[in-house]
Amino acid sequence: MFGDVIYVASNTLSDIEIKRYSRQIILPNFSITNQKKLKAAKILVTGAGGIGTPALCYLAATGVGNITIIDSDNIEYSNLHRQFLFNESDVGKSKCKTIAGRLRAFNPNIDITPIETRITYGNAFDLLRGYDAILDGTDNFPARYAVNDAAVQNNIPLFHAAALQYEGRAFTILPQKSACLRCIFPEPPPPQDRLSCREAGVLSPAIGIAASIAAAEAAKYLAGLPVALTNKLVVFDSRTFDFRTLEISRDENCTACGKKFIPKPVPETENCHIG
Amino acid sequence: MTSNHPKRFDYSIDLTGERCPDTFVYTRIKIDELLEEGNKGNVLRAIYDSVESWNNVFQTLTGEGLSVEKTTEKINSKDVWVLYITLSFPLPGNK
Ligand SMILES: [Zn+2]
Repeated sequence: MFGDVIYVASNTLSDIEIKRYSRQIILPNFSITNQKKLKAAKILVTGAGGIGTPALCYLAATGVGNITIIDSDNIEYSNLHRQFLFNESDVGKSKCKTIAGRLRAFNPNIDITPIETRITYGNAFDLLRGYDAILDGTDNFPARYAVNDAAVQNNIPLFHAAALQYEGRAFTILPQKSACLRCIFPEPPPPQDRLSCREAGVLSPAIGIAASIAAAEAAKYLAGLPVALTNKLVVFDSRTFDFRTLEISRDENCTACGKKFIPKPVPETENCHIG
Repeated sequence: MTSNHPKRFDYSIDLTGERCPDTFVYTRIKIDELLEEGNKGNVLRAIYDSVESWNNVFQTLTGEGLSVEKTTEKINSKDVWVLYITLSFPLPGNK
């Protein structure tokens, strides 16, 4: 290196961070400014399960600087086929604390905050506050609807992903601007119409695809880039790899994001939790 | 576009020892940083020790619409390949 040469490091990105994110910073339509926005951003991931695991990996990889994870479960053997940051020796341990440790080791340049609690309609409106974005990785209808209603009421963009059997879906909710979960599915299916345990299998890469779509949307949003999946629901089938994008629209009478907010907790049932 | 006359520059980055694509990566990042700091119109000198990097970075940056001048120079008695990049913002296709 020549002595007369200056290389002014960024105020907020270290040399290691610049190297680490370099293949992203040189993307067309991306710059160091976008990377700094990512570093300053705060995202909440609800659920450290099948959707949460791959989504968290990509959010941490892209350099989202502040990631909070909410989950109340402990790790089980049956989680491991899709929740690939956990080892067999982790079975019985806290999901959110374990995944927080893995993510800190993977990217020590970001802050990871685990919150070990169960999301309910009663606590969601307080828990889902103070974030720039929320990525929903919940695995059951009561929590999923609580997250939707709280996110849109608190005016926080929500990145939704879900998968079941071979199929997955994802879409992006910008409150008051684009359709929310309740605009398209005002209520969850009645308990007798939900899938039985036998039917509640899932191909793990299909969850990974759905989670990756939501993580890509969230990362673009937090970096200050346009998102693609507002008022659009991406649905895919991993048996055929038929991807469809369905146009959806806001319902002005939506109980969550419409003219009048009506709290609608979804009763807890005994249905299988996957995702 | 190639000359042997030293040019005026405001900032300099030494990328000797780096290879493609890192030569491009660090040049682009330096340009982004300088633009963010309000250096539009200023000139960045970028120094390479490989003719491939010099050509590749030149092509990519001019393809993005930047004004870039190529020179070969002797710095500290070493032959190097140099680009003088006039900083402009936004790059086409970049915000
Ligand atoms: Zn709605």
